[in-house]
Amino acid sequence: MAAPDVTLPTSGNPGRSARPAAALLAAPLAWMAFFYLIPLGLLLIHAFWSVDYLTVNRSFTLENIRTIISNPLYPTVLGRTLLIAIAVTVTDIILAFPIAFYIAKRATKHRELLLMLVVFPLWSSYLVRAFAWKTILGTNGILNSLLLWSGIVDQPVSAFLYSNTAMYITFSQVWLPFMILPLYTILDRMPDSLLEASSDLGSNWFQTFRRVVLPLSLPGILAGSLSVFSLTMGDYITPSLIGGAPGTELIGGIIADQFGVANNWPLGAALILPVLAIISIFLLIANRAGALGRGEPG
Amino acid sequence: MGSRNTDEARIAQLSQMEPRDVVRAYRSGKISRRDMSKLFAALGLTSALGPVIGKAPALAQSNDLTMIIWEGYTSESFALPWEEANDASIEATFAGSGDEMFAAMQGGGGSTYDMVSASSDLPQRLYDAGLLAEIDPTKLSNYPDLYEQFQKPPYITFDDKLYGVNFAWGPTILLYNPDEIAEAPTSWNALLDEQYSGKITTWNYPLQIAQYALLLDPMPEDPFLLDDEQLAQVKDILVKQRPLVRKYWDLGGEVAELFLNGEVVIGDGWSWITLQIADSEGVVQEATPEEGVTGWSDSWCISSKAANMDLALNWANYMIGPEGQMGVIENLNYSITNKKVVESLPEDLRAQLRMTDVPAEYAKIHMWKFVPNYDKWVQVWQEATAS
Repeated sequence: MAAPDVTLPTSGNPGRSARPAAALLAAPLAWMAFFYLIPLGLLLIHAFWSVDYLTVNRSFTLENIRTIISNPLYPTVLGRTLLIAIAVTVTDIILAFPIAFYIAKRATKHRELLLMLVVFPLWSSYLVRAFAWKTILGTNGILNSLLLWSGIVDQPVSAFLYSNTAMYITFSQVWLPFMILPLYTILDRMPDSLLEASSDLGSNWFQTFRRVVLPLSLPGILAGSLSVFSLTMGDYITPSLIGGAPGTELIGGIIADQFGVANNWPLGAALILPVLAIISIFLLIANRAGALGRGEPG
Repeated sequence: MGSRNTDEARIAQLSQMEPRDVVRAYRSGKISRRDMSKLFAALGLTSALGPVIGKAPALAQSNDLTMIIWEGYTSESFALPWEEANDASIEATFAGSGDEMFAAMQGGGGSTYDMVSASSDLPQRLYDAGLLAEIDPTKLSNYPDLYEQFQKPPYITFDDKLYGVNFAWGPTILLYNPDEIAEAPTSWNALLDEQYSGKITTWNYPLQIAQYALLLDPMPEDPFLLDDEQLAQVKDILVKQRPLVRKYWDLGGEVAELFLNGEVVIGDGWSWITLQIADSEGVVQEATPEEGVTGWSDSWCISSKAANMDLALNWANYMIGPEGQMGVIENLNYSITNKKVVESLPEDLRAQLRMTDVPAEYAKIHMWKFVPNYDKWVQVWQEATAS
C-alpha cells in the first residue's frame, strides 16, 4: 500500500539554470510515463468500451457512464464512500494535531521515541492492523467484553463489527500516521518565536492557535488530508474484512469486483472516473491553498 | 488428525526447503501457522529471514505448480507427500468464487496459473476464452477407475475432447449452531427468518441466485435457467434478506470464523467448513433443506499455457487416485469420483458422503452449470446485496 507522494512546501531555486533540472527529471518522468501514465490511460480507455461475453468490444460507447448514473447502486455507494472518507479525514486532523504539536513543540527528551511510535504501526502489515480491529470490535471481542464487564450493556453490541462504524474506526487508526507526519514536519519548522510573539502581544492560547498556528500549518493539514482521503476512497481490503454487511460496500470494493469477479473491465474503468474526479477536485483545492508548494516559483 | 510422527516428518521436510519457498507456502495457506512455529522452534530461529535453511532442492524452479483453487484443495496432508515424491512445489491461491478464478486465469492470459480447480459452471467459460489445455485421459493411470459419469461429463467435454479431471463433488448446505437453534431447519427460508436477524451469513456469489431460486413458487425446473421475471423474484427475496444478514462471506475460512466467534448462528456453506469449525472445537450442524440443494462438481483443469504439463497431469492423476481421493474425504468431507476407492469404503462413510449409490445421489443435486445470462445474475446480485 504505497502512500501518495506528499510534497511539503519548499522555496524555489531561482539561481539554478533549467537544464540540469530537466536532466534530473528525465528519468523519473520517463518512469512515470511508462509505468504509470500509459497504463492508467489504457485502463481509462476501457471506460468507453464494452464487454461482449468474454471479449472486450473496442468500439466507442457511453453505455458504462449511463449505467453508473442511472443505476442507483453506484451513486449510493459512491456517496457512502465519500462520507466515510471525509469523516475519517476530519477525525484524523483532530487526532493528529495535538500529537504532532506535542512532539514538535513540547517533547524534548523523547521526541525520537515518540516519532518512532507514530511510525511503528506502519511496520506491521496493513492486514494485521485490520484483523486486530476484528478481535477488538467483534461480538465476543475486547470492546464488548469490557462493556459487558462494566455493566454498561447487558447484551454484546453487534453494531461494532461489520458496519460503517467499524470501517470508520479502522480507517481512522490505520491512516493516522499519514496525517501526523506532515503536520509534525510543518509544526517543527514553525519558529517558536512566532508563538512567543503572539503571547507577548496578549493573545491567549486559543487566539494563538486560531490566528497563528492553524493558518501556518494549513499546508501540512492539506497534505495529510490528501493522503488520508485518497487512501480511504480507494481502499477495498478493509471493507471486505471489517465491512461486508449489507449497506457497507465501498466504491473500491465495487471496482475491484468488476475487475476480479465480474470480469467487466469497461464498467470497472468507468467507475474509476468519478473517484478520480473527486480526488482531482480535492487536489485542486489543496493546490490553491498551498499544500503542494507555493504556486509561483520564487 | 495428523499424529506426532507425521508432524515431525513434515517439519523435517519443511526444514529442507528454501526459506523463500516455505514463506510462500505459508502465505498461500499450505503450511499452517502451527507448523511454521514448530519449524522455527526446530531450527532455533525466531525470524523467517536468514540464510538458506538446509540444502535447496536442485530442481525447485522448474517444478513449481501454480494453482488457483477452492480453499482446502491443497491440504498439506495429501499435497506434501505428493510434493515430496515428485520433488515439486505447489503454490496455491484461494479464490472466493468461480468468477474470481476466471478473472485470475484470464488476467494473466493463462500464464499466471498452471491449474485451476474449476467447478461445473466454470470450464465452459475458460474453454470459450481459449484458456484450457486438452487432457489426454490415457496419460492418467487412475482414469479408468472413475465412475463412468465422471469420465466424460458434459461440463468438461467440449468438441468431444476432455478438458478437466473431475475429482470431487458435493452440495451447498445449511450450517447452523445447535446451541442457538434447537430444531434442525428444513428450508432455505431459515436464511430469511427474522428470529435470526443479524445472525445470518450467506455466500457473496451471484451463482447463489440458483439456491434462492429453489424458494420460488412454482419452483423453476432448472434453477440455472431463469428468465427476467424469475430473476426479479429472486431479487425480491435477496432484498428481503438483506437487513437480516450479518455478513456476506467471501471465503470458506471466513464462515468458520463467523461461527466460532459467535457472530452468526446460521448460514450456507460446505462440509469442509463444518470440519474447520469442529477442528477448532466449535459447534455446528449441517441440514439439507427440503427444497433441494445446489452443488458443485469440481475438476482439475490445466491452463493452455501451463509451464509443466506433465507435472500438472501427474497432480490431477494423483488427486483421482487413492491418496488424493482419501485426502479429499478426510480433509474436506466431500464426495469423490473414483469408483474403486468408493467401493473400498465402509458402508456408514459411504452413506454419510452420499455415496451409497453415487449416480442416483449425484443426480439429486442441482449441480452448478454454465449460466447463459450470467451478466444479469451479477447485476441482480450486486444491486440486491451491495447498495
